[in-house]
Amino acid sequence: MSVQFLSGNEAVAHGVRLSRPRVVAAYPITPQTVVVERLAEMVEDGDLAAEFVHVESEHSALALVMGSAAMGVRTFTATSSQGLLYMAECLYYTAGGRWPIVMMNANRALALPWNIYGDQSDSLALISSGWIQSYAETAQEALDLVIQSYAIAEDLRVRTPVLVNLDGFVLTHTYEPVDVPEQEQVDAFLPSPDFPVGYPGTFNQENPQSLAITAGPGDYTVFKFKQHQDMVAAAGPIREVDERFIQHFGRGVAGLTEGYQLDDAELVIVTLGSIAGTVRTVVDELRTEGVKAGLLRLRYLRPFPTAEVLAGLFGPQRSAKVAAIGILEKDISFGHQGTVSLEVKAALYEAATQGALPPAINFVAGLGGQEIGLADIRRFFTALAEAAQGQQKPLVQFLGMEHAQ
Amino acid sequence: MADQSDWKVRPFQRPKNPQDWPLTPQCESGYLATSNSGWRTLWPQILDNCNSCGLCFVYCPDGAIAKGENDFPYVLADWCKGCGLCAKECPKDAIRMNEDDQK
Ligand code: SF4
Ligand code: SF4
Repeated sequence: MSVQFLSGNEAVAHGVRLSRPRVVAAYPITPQTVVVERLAEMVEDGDLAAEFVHVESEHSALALVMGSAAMGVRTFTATSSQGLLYMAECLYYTAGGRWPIVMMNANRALALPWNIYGDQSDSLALISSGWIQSYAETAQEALDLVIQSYAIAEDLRVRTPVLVNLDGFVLTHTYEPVDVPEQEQVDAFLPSPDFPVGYPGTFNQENPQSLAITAGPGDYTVFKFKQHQDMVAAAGPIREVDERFIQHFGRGVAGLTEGYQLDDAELVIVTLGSIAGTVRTVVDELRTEGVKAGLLRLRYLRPFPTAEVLAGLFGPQRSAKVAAIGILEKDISFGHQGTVSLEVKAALYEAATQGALPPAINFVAGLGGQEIGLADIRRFFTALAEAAQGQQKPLVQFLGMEHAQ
Repeated sequence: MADQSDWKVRPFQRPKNPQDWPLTPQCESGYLATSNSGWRTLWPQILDNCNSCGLCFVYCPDGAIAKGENDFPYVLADWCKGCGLCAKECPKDAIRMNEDDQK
């Protein structure tokens, strides 16, 4: 293991190199480009024995790795923003076909207005596409998630593609020391990049298969039911992979969520991605001032970790009642709330039968690269404290638009 | 090549338990789970002036045309959806779309 000073994008490229995909196809798009450039260099230098295919679009990139996966090999692609939306058709196709593709997405705003900076509206728009979705907090976690994603996606119980998300620029372009494992360590952790003969969804000379078949009205439901069931059940294999990763590499988080100062927290911010780091810092500051602040970070949005969210907020290990919940995300589902807020609140409904729920505020912040500072997160906690005391608050609050709402 | 007289719908035995269905939307080749004939109102009749050029065999989007003796084409009743593409493409006007009498 060697510690290197890497950006989030470079960490992803190293995670991919160590996972030895046989085929890489990607179309460069800001802020993902560095991933593609590094992988191209690695292939050129002989550090990665993969077919690197230049494609004319993101749609082609995902279609190409889908075909490669159907030939029975590990694959990788990466995109961002408009590119992810352009791929949308192929996202559903690959998920429905159950090909274990791993893709990195640099979370970036969607046009219009034109904007190349970070927010999470791209991947959240495709949350129902059937892909597993994870969100990295750090470059280290991004590298680790890539390796873990192959173990999860290729598990026979899962067979579902994985989208690993990194906040554009804030995580893709910032540098930190990253533990880069040795090739032998990763080889011992992952199965062969050549799938075994007869692996579902792959061509087979001995026993010819028609892949990507038509299914009429009744049969279609069976396949969709199975897709859903297997995605829900994927939480188990994800946790197993996390635990095996910790044993194997000596670091990591076990579970689809991560709590920080959570068990006695009265004011909890639920969030995802790199902003969790800033929230941790504010939680530490508030704790020194006697405010019982806490963080619940969602590492995975699909499968949605309902049980873990409920356990974190209402579980028997808690020593204090949660008095207010803030859901902080870089997204808005126009006409309702942020997508993550909708997801979290749907999970909370499961707990509603056990008693009244605390007030919840959706903080929409960081749109189009908007900076979210320590002072902003402090204000979010203040708003939660006031809501906990019974003050009426807008349910959805846009950072920077306080004067207008 | 498989015996083409066998190119019939092989009904897919739908398992009761979803766990027993294929692990992905895939199937052993040679199956047609549902017949396309229900979509059909017209049926391609191959006429005697066909010179066995094979174009219809290539163009049929459903692979519903097979080659018989001396490559003379014939149409597979379960697979043909009656689109008429073969008749449109035939350079000899040797395919006539008739009322479907095959169902
Ligand atoms: S009518 Fe259409 S489906 Fe039928 S044989 Fe001709 S081209 Fe094929
Ligand atoms: S395209 Fe016409 S001429 Fe050629 S094989 Fe088919 S029916 Fe015969």
